[in-house]
Amino acid sequence: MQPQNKNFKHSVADALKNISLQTALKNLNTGFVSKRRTAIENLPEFDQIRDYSVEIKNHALQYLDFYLQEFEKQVKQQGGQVHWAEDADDACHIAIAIAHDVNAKLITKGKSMVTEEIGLNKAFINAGFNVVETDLGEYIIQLRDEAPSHIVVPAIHVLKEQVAENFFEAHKQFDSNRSLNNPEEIVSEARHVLRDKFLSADIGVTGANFLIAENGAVIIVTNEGNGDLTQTCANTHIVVAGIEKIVPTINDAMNLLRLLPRSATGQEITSYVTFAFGSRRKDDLDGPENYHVILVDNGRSKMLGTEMADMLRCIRCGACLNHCPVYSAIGGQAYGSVYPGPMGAVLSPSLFGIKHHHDLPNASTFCGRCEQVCPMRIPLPKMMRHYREQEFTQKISPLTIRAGLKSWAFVAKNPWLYHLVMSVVSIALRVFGSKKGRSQRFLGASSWTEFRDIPIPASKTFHALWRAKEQK
Amino acid sequence: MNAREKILAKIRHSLQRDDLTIEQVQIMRNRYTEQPRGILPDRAKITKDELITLFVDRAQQASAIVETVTNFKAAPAKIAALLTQEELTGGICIASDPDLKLLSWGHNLSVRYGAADQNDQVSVTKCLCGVAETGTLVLISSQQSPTTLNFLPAVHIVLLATEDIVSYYEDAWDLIRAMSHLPRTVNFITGPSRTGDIEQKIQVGIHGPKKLCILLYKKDSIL
Repeated sequence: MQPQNKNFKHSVADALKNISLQTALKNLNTGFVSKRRTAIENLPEFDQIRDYSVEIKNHALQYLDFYLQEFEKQVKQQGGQVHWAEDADDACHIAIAIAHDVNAKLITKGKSMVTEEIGLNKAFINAGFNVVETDLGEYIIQLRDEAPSHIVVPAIHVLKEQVAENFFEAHKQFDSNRSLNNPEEIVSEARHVLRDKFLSADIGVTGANFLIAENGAVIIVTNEGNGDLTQTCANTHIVVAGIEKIVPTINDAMNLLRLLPRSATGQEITSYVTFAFGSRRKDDLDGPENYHVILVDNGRSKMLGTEMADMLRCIRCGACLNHCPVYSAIGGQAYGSVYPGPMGAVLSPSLFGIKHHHDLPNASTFCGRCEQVCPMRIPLPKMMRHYREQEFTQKISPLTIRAGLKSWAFVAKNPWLYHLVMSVVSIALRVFGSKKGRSQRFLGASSWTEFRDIPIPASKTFHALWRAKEQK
Repeated sequence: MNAREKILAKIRHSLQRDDLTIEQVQIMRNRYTEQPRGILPDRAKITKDELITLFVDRAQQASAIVETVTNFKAAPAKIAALLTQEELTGGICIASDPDLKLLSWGHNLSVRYGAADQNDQVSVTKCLCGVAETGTLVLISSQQSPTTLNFLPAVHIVLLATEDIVSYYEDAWDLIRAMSHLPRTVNFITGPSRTGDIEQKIQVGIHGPKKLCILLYKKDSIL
């Protein structure tokens, strides 16, 4: 399900008032943030591995055309087919053609952000196929008909009581008086229900964390085992991957593997890391007979060689979301893009255009935590600043905001005027403000004072004090 | 131009260069043979005996059950005891590996060999090696080790020789590269299946095995 691209400000206001969302978001800090910190403390080489991995990804992107062809050659040699999709529609058409070709009815899916990006579920359903998400979080949001709210934990915004409600609604085959109060009961029911899906699926679709040029490996990094059952049980396995996932060698990918789970969930490694090398071998007793990889561009190639190229290093760990004060306050859905948080604020306008997502780069306090925790050292604040400039120069932001910014720039660039304005404001605040050092109201600043007080300035400005000192 | 050519052309246009020359391609491919290893964590730069301790510690940290048997032949008895302890009565599906087939599976165990199906409660497999840095098992798909055994049953029992414990993932890949051909799939397995999707509280056993049990033995004692 594609997210609703509503007015960002309204979505934010709704999110802040949403009690269940706010309860769910409280888990972020105690969960991933502290676990990540512990995992990194236990790996003294973490920063060195980061630097090395940044080099690997930069190199891979610098020769992306070459490595993609190497990857393609290797996959073909191992009985797989490689398809190239310029955009979302092409990718969906290719997948649908494969599904028709194998006469598929049921399609299972492992968690994949790129399939969310291209809207593959909807395309499959419109073409008459039955699609079931098998990652527990994805399954939950599929039942709820919602977009993911986090790139690693898609149902992070949902409380267990809400999951129970969705399960009672969807799984009518079970006793309606059963208990679904505990997470164990919910997990057990999901295991039971989805087991049948894996075993009766005609196609399993997964994403990819890394594509390896030297030997054609498609790597998925997972915890539940659903990705493996998805790609093992069905007779046809379709991999959908963004072209930027290429890494030259397996050893190169092992460096990235030391960063990804630690940055994402604070695990040293996930339960499963799976390397797929094509279709079932002659003597194999299981595994898919048909193996397809769909390489998706969808705006990535045009990011190369621009200020946005750094974003293509992103390994989708979600650390920038987990550490973002804005994401922690509003959750993922308010962003109105499959990619939320700081990485989404950069990637969404890069892929889908600044016109559609111009609000997102403004959803930042520029505290810099995202860049600090990014394992691939992506300069996210700098890139958001770039889009803020674009928003201004392309006249996408409302006239009032642009006029305000222009006047501010004019004032700030003229010191005499700046001091004059400041002293007037300072006097006004002290005259009209309360005696508590804060003012709850100020003319023309109601949207600020609605949520917080304006501090009353000191009676003398720093400049005045400095001048007085100099004169002594 | 088809989509493939268009995408490659767009990439080269953005990177402002032409397709690589044959000489350049050769230089690039040197990376595959050189296999630079990057930064290896110091924690696994230790003696063979210490590696075993590190492996066990990391595997247990990831909620794997680790048991030791005196020798390979003692595995069935240990497995029978484990299953009694876990109150599992169903059949066992065993990888049709020549070594595993030679074991005497008496002990009131009903066994069959091959790939797993939905009725199998327990599977037994060997593995290529264990990786000490994170307590990870490396399994290679083949007729002797079907992938479904690693994911369908509720309990997965893996036999691992202590001699086959290596330091790093890269060491495991050296072993795989030495094989005659690449398998369909390589599985790194560290602990049982888990999810944090319900309020970020870790629950074990969502889709894959609820229990991962590693039986350590000494290779010199094999049969």
